[in-house]
Amino acid sequence: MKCGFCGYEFDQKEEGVKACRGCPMSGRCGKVKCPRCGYENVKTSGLLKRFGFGRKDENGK
Amino acid sequence: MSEKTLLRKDNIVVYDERIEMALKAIEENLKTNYNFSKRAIALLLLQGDEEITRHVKNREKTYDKIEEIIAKTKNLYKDPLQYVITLKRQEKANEIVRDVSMNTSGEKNFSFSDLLDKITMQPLTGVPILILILYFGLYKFVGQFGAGTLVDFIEGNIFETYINPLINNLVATYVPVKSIQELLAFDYGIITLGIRYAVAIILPIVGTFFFVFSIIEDTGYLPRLAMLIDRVFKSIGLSGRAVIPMTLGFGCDTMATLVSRTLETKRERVIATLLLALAIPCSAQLGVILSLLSQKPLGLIIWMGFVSLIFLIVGYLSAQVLPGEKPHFYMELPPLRMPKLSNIIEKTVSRMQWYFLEIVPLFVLASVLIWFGKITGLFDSLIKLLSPVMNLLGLPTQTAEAFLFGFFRRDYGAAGLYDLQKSGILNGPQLVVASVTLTLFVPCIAQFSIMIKERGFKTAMAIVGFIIPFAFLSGFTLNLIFRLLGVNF
Repeated sequence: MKCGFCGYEFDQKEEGVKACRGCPMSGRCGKVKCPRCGYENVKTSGLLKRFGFGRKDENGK
Repeated sequence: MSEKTLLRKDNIVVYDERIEMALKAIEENLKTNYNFSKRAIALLLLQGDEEITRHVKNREKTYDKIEEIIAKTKNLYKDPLQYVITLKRQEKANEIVRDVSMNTSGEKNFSFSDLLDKITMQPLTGVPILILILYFGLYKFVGQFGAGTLVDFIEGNIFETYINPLINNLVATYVPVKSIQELLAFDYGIITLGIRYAVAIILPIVGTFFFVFSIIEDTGYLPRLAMLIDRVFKSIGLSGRAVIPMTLGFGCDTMATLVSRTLETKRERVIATLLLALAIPCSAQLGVILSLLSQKPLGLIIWMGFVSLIFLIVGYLSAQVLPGEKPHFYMELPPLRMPKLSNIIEKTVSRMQWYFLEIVPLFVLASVLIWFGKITGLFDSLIKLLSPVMNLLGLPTQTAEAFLFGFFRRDYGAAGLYDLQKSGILNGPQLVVASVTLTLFVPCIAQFSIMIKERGFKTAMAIVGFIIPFAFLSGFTLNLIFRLLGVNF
């Protein structure tokens, strides 16, 4: 995942989870906190994933 | 270039004389072994690294002397030492890159992207660009299209014409108990009020807001905005870093209050929490207010100017009252990008889904509480209690309902105000006074509970204790100004 504020690329499952620790909404809010700047990035919703939608990077992947 | 050349001595960062002298003096006072070079430890001490400072304090008998050297060095500079040291490192990194790389693509050294970078961050050009973004993105698209056209269509053509009459009929026919009928339908029912507010008023507004926000986010404009407003924010005790919680606050103030923990100093965190609770409207509240006032552009300008003025004055005064170190801010700018439509739609839909799942249960709960308040008479008593305050603000008594809704949830209160405006009981100045007071008025329950968790009970209570009278005083003052000047629109 790429942070929408500072552009830092991080692994949503590893680093993103770490940055969200201590938040009472952790894991239930649909957002992932950037470990570098703290900006909250939105996760792709489960509904969209089911229909095969997902965020694409600059190479279209 | 060989590794040997890269590591040659003149590639080591040499700071200015004052810092080099301080480093030398600190190194002489570091007597124990740290498994790192003493220069690295001294640099971390000068930058105020908390962990290293704690270690050194525990291990060095001469720590007092080290502390004195750090304090003296700090006094020699206008900017924090961390900033001074980082700037020098950046300078050296640029110098090394220049030495080892060359432009083979034939591109000009100063590209269009560089130009955009410059004009978005320079106040002279950056402020007009920001105003254009706010005008077209928020006022035209969210305020007029989302909160006007879309809401009118979904509310008027779908809910008012088909859904509400159908639900009212079904409930009246099949539910025999009157109080249960009122829980589900009619004026304050779960479906006819709670679900209608969520689907017909709030969702189109936040949907259009999230669309604009995703475009802004994907272009890389946000960090440039942080740089642009850094100077203004410094005067109110914050730094450009606070643009993160402040921007997120325009989405949801509760989440933004949580994010304020990323600010560096306690002073910054308290000021940001206060300003978020006081003067930053959440997305739905902002959208509804834009929609309410979009028919009266003068009212919109007064609302925006008044709330911005309060943001700056309260921020400035808090920065004077609250003790603590002045903040500093720098960041590496990611490149500007051309946003992809598929990504923007995906982000918008995801945000709308999360938001919708979050608000529906709360809106239903709000309807139940209002219903409970209605059948017990508590709701009417609270409205009676607020009536004199409404009169002082020059507002009709019914406006008290929107304020009560607003404490439960900001967007619910704004939707209540939207309903009142539609019934035509508020004139222009009254609409502005109600919008200003409701914007400044207490944070919703969720934000208040996060304020207690993040800043502590005393600070949260002090903030709310300040906000409630201040919001009404501001509304009262604005109403008085309107009356004295005979303003009517």
